[in-house]
Amino acid sequence: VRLCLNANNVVFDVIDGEVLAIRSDSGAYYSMRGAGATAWCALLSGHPVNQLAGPVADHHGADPSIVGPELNRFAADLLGEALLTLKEGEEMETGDLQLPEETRMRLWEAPVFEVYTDMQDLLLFDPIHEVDNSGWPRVAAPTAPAP
Amino acid sequence: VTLCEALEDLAGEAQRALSHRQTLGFGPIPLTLQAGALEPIQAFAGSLLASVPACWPALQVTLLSGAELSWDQLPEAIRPRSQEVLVASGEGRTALSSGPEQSLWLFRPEQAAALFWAPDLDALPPWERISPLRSAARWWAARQGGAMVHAGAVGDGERCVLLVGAGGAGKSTSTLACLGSGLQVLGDDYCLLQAPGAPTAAPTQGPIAYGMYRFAKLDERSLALLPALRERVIGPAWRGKWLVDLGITEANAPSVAAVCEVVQDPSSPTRVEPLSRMEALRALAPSTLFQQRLWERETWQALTATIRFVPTFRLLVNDPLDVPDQVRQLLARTAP
Repeated sequence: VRLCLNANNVVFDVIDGEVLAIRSDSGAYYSMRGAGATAWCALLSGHPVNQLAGPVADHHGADPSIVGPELNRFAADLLGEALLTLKEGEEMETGDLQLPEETRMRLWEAPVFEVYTDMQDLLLFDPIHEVDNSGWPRVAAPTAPAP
Repeated sequence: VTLCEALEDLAGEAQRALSHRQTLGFGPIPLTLQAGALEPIQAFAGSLLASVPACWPALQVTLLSGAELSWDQLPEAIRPRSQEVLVASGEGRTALSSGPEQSLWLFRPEQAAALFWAPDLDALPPWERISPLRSAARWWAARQGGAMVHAGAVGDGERCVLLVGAGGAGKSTSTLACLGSGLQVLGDDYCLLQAPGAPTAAPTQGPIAYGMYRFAKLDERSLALLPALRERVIGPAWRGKWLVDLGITEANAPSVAAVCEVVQDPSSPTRVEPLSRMEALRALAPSTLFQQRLWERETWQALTATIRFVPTFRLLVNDPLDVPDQVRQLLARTAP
């Protein structure tokens, strides 16, 4: 299984070893702490998820048997919130895994994933139906509420 | 014929009948407003802070009313109706149709022009008269590598602190507590930001904030905390809030010295403490992005570039009257 960013609806940045990601379609935003920045970058790389535990564990000087299950749980959280999606039908990523330098050899702490929904009222107040770029100039039909 | 092409054609015909035009400024934006009557231009211009040097590219905004272009003439798919907000975008152009506000925007980057349609320009909702052209400002800022941010801004004329936080955090009250203190208030709710690395910025230049509007809003509870501001109240705004005159007519252009999240904390004296950049971004970005979900990517980049450039703090407010001193100390603490 390989994953990729839900690029249509998600913006993110990694600052000081933390990740903030925002889903512009749902109004939810997410904080990732602990080893979240490393795990996020690893999962975004397009490498198979089952091959990430080793390099991520090396990056933190940690035990792959501990890192692996926590990485899988984190990936499930990200998929559940549609920050990442399954990557299909493309060639296998074979390049080096790029992990954030600022978290190198930082003590492994399980990724902490926090969900904030306090801004969703703003979106409910201002329901918007967008037209994707490929659909120009077609106005999109009203979409179902975001999960 | 596409929706926007149809709208452009209609607008082009209607524009020929427009006889009134005024060139002014809107923060960093040299702005030309044109309309079929003088009143809407004067109403909009009266709420805007005048331009400053070192401006962004000029923008032309055409104000069309139902007299020039009727609702029936608008392309059916994007007529403002019910509670829907519709966006059609592509080929760089964007049409934004707002049912709740009964208005329609068309943004045309190649012409550096925007078009605003409303059935009656003399009967706009109060927020469109008091804080007009927000959608155009947001669009134009995003195109300049900047952003229209949901933040208050207070400074000493040279440098300023962005006060950020979700609605109800005390941002407006804290910002407006600085009125009359010798500090300059650029705005309580919105300002325009030129981000580091923007095409209009010098190579090593940090973020710059620009005021947008002459007026702020304050509720009765905040006025009770800041009674000196009653003499600045010029009338009702909406939702029980009062309109407060900021006492400035020109947008200053101070560099941003810090981003500061405002939090109410009655448990201890008003104070400033360091805040991680990520927490500051969390206080600034969602409320800015979700004010209107267009040009999120460009806006996000401007916000993150700014957060990376300046120190970040949290202002814990017990008494709003303490805020001016805290802002002064913060400006001194972050002085280059």
